[in-house]
Amino acid sequence: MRAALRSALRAGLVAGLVALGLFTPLVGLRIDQAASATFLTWHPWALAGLVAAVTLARFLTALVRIPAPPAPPAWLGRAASPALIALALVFPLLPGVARYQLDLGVLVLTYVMLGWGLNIVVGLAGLLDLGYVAFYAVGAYSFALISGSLGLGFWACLPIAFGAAALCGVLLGFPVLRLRGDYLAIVTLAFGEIIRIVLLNWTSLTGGPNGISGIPRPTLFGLQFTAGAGPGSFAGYFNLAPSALYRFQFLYYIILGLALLVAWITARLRRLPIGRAWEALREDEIAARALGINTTATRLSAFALGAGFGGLAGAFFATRQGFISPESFTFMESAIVLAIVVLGGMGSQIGVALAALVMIGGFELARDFAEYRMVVFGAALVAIMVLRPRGLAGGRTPSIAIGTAGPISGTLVAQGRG
Amino acid sequence: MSPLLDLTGLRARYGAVEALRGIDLHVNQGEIVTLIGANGAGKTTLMTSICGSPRAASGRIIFDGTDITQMPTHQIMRAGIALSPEGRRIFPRMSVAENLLMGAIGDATAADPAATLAQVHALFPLLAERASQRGGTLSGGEQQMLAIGRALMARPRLLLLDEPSLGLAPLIVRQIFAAIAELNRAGLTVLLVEQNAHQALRLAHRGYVLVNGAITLAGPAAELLQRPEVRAAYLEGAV
Amino acid sequence: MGAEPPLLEVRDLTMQFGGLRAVDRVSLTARAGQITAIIGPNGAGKTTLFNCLTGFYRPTSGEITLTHPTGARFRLDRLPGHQVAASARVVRTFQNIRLFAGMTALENLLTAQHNALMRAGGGFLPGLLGLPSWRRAEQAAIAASLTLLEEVGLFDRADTPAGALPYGDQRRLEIARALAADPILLCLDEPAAGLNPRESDALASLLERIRAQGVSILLIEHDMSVVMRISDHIIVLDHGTRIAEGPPAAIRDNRAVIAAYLGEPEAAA
Repeated sequence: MRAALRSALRAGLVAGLVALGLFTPLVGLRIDQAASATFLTWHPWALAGLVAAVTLARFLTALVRIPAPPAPPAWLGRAASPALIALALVFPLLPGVARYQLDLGVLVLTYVMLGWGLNIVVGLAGLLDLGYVAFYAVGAYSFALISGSLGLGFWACLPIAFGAAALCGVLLGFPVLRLRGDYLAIVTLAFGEIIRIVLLNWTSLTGGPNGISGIPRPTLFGLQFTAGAGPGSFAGYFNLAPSALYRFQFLYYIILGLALLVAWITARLRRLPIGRAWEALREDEIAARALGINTTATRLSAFALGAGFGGLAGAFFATRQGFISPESFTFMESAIVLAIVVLGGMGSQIGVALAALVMIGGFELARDFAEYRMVVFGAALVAIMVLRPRGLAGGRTPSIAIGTAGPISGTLVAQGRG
Repeated sequence: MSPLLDLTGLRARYGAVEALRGIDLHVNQGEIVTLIGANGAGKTTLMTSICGSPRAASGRIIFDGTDITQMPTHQIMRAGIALSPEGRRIFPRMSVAENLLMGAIGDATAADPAATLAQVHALFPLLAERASQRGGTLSGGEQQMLAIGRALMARPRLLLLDEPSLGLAPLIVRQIFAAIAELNRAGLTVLLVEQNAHQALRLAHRGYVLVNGAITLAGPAAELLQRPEVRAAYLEGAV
Repeated sequence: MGAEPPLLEVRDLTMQFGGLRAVDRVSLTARAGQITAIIGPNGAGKTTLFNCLTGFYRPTSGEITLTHPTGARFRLDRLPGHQVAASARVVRTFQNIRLFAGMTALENLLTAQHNALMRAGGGFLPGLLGLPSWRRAEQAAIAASLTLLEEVGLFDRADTPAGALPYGDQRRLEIARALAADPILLCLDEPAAGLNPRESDALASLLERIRAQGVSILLIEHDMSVVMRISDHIIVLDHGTRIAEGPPAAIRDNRAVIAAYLGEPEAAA
């Protein structure tokens, strides 16, 4: 017991020292302005409080093993999906849901869809892709360009966006066939950046940093969602009082529909040979090949389908904004989507959805904390990773069972190294 | 004289499963003790639990008078205990020579590694032949020899061997068991887990039978060899 | 026996890694419907030979020819990795057990039937839409998997994740999974490693049953009780070359083999 106390104390003090070093320039010293002079102010109490908090926290975590939180009961897992879907369906119709909430809902659902798309590559096939934003961008730009030159609407361009992005997925897949783990990650990251830089510099095609504007809004069988209720408009056709809200509700349902389509296809594919081949690739590629599975085709199909879904999300993004520029397609987006997939528990559909809700929704709602938003958010993420290191929904549900098969412990499932 | 290694009431979990349910076991200085039991009985968990991973949930482990139950694993391995683990776990990208030198880190006597290396080479000439070859390119049996050699490099007082005969040619198995006997005569204490229960019980002084995480039988090895339940469960096929 | 070509014919196979000649001009044959064992000291080149046979290594030189009962011939030294199992129907297990740990036993077996399912189910679209042709194919595959699981005594473990199975069960599951891929030649790399005498015995019986069903077996093994009992033909490798070949009785008494590998027979325990 003595030894344990001593080592915990030591750990706490070391952490405290590190905190002191880190927080002195960040919190202890601040630059303030008064009149025309700038000067340095010293905040000893804030600094001391932080250092004390860190020391105490580290001391406690070194001393006490935090027990893993009990797994949620099985019925909760089964009920969660239908409940969330039902909630998502009625969300726009709930009282008090105005433009801000709808926008947030659309944002969350966009990331859910991106997460589900990347989940195929990272979660199911175990291929560490750090450049997913590339396909998001390809989908957005192909829609913008095609509609600009051929005058096609959103719905017509959707399959084109899918195809263009899927093609890019295959193009990415070929050179990285032999790469694994970290090397695959770096090359995919580079690919994402290459796409962004090409979009930025190919001014004649993409408008460069000015981007492309005037992207058509989606219509419902030709009905426009204009603010007024004139002929040819949604409100006019259904004899409803004109409201700007209808457009946002429509957008919401489009992204919900797209996301659910992706989820359904993925769920179906998990039960098919192709889905099992993806998971076999993640679990043990050598064994998969030894059983006759064409691992090259399997990899490429994972990249292609994941990319295609990213492209769909990109097209939606373009039509929602009406305007796109390379600024929206930075590495940060890839990182956020990857974080959502990892946080959710790789391979788990519901996990990804929850993670997107927590990360995007949570980040937005944390606005109340003003300048401490990032700290609170970061602390929440750290807490989640400590308590549930395998992700929110850390287990894997078997795709088929003859008896009652519960979820498989996350520790048994391979993490995949590309 | 008190035993070199003394386990009392050892309980340990492996994930969600209670793998060890109250183990009482001791190994006297200069003995070879063998642990036999079916796959999944907890033999490997017992070996690694002595080394601190998984940490004992309750019970005590005393080595040479010191309570090592809560000691960090790396300290245990420098206190005179060495392990040749299940699955070998050699460093694939290091050469054979480097693997062996890594083993010398645990040497509590701070002897000259070169001298120990010479002894290990005498035991396993193959390791001398392949000194610069990468560990990962060795065959399975060769890796097993490397794992045992690496453990010996620590000049341990207590050697834990987890399935040392796995994947080894019959001739080599005999050589290894002969080598263990010789090392034992020179003062090395050995705790041995083996599927090859026959050879293990012929080599060892005493044995324990582990079933589902608990000791069901214990006694002199020669006695265990003769007991019908041991013969039926572990020594005989239908032939 | 005599007129038909052997199932597997290896001619002057050499595998060189830089300065190391792991396999040195080895020739051997394995006949259909038999269990052929490859034994030899550690480092003799047995697994390297296996890796050449099953498409994991490209041999430096030599030929490996597999002849199906239909007459179709395959040059195993030239086939791309997955085709060895997919077209030539040579399936292997691994010394270190390579199961899909995060998938259940049943899922492991279904994965092995990948190609058969793709063919029978009509491909991608019928599966996605859940058409009857797909569902029939899936049911057949599940039934075949369950039969195999029963064969190896793992029926009650169908829904257990492979990584959670005890060692002996994992070995058997790996063999069942290899069988699920419908092989003509089953290559087993030390299937009895880590098994106690009782389990080895059960394994030997299983292999005999597999042979009776018409699947030929090529076996690397150190457990002589298994090898001597079930092998029709034994090939002995040492330092990358073949030093002896013949039926079990002949190999057991072969001076060179005893010196290099078996050791003198012990007094009965």
